[in-house]
Amino acid sequence: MTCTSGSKEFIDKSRRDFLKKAGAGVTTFTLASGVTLMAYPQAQKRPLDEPVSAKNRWGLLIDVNKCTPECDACVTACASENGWKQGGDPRVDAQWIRKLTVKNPKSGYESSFPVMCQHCENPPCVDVCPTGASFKRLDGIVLVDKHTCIGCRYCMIACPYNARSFIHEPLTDQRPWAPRGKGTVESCTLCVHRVDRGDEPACVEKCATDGNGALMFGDLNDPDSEISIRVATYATKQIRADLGLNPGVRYENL
Amino acid sequence: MISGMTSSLLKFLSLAIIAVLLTFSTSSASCAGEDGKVGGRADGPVLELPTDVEQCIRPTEFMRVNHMYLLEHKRDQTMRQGIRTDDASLQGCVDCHAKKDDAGKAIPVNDPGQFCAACHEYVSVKLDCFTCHRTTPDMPASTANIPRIPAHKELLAANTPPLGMPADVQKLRAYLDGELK
Ligand code: HEC
Ligand code: HEC
Ligand code: HEC
Repeated sequence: MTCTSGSKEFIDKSRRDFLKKAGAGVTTFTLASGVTLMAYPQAQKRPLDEPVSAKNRWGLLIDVNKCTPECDACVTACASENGWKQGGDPRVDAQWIRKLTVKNPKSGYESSFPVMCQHCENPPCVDVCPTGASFKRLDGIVLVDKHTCIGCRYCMIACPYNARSFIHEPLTDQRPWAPRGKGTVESCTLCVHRVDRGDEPACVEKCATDGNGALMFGDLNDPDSEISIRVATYATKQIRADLGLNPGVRYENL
Repeated sequence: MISGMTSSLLKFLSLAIIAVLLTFSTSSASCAGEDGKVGGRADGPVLELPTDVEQCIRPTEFMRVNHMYLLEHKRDQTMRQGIRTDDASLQGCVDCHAKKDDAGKAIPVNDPGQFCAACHEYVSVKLDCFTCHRTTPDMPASTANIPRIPAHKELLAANTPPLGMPADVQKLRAYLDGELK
């Protein structure tokens, strides 16, 4: 019996062409006069087989005035998208995003907003990582390469935002796009698997549909993007801006 | 004395080379073997291959020897550079290679004797991949309606001319990068 696989053919090129075709084209829907919805504008810019580049700097803008204390749509969206569970033991639970409520003791004014990895331009978690697992992608997304993470947790200590979690227990039934396992550190990935295909992070999407539309995602390097225009027009803050880390997550009306 | 050692070393080496050659030639000549055994060895692992698709993402012999390089390359590309083609995706392997039990439920691809375990058990390779990566193609119920990446089957429908087996690491790398046509 001879093996026939030598004559079997490669799919490489056709695959690329297929993906390029599939990724091409910006779809524009007109919702009402003057209101248009642009789908997949980023997929147009970067085909699936091209590496990310410093042309983009992904960021979030959170409008604290719109965010209400009782709403946690962003947190549940993140948990179900990435497969982490809430409500177990708070000492060991993973927490990629959490809601904070702060009160001004003098005026009694309360505000509420989500805090997650702030995707710093100068991330301290990357500085301290002994294996290079904690890294910043060229487009500004700070990630843990769990393949190189040894679980030392220096990054958790270095992060001023307390944004990272450690997985203490063995896991099963993970999301296909969000592999997670015992002994490694993790944090908000800005839903990198969605961003790479041209979608918004799950929290932003759910905040718009189930919440109060307080979250905005976009490219801070593109002067024409909605987020850049807003950041240029209104006063926004970075949490602990004094640290000079230049987070990609900004807050309005904080 | 020295020449005696050299000659016995040579003898040993040539035996070793012949052994290696034999292993490879029998394995390529028999595919999974008429008895379903890899490498045509009596005690070799038995693999159950997918029945609904005809071929892997590369020729079978290439996959047998090089699948880990494809995976590692793809891993770094996706992780560090955000390249998200589904060629050589680990979830892709699982989607095609996980079997279903009689009740139609997918069997984890790394369960004892299953596709990603049979060979590894035989050669004592231990993978940590599946402590994090999903072992079955089916989705958690809560996300069942999220559309999947395009099916490999569709991508396999169209083909380009075959490519020879890469000879050395550099060539392999160029090949993995898609530069070698
Ligand atoms: C500690 C957890 C962990 C372990 C162990 C692990 N991975 Fe991953 N892997 C990840 C994460 C997280 C990603 C990124 C997923 C994303 O961004 O979509 C990933 C992505 C990948 C990808 C690209 C996505 C895909 O499905 O193709 C490949 C390939 C991959 N890993 C291969 C491996 C291999 C091979 C092993 C075993 C040698 C392994 N991984 C072990 C966590 C892990
Ligand atoms: C499109 C579905 C599909 C995908 C995706 C796929 N395979 Fe396969 N694979 C097959 C089929 C079908 C065969 C049997 C081919 C044959 O009969 O020669 C096979 C054969 C193999 C073999 C050789 C088995 C033997 O007979 O010795 C290995 C090893 C292998 N696959 C590993 C992988 C790995 C690793 C991945 C992920 C990177 C992967 N496959 C992805 C369908 C697939
Ligand atoms: C035909 C037999 C065979 C099958 C089937 C097979 N493997 Fe392997 N695999 C091997 C052998 C042999 C090695 C070790 C090679 C070496 O160390 O040189 C290996 C090594 C690996 C490695 C590298 C391990 C390390 O620690 O460096 C990964 C990753 C891997 N296999 C993934 C897979 C996955 C995923 C599947 C299922 C889709 C699979 N393999 C199916 C034979 C097989």
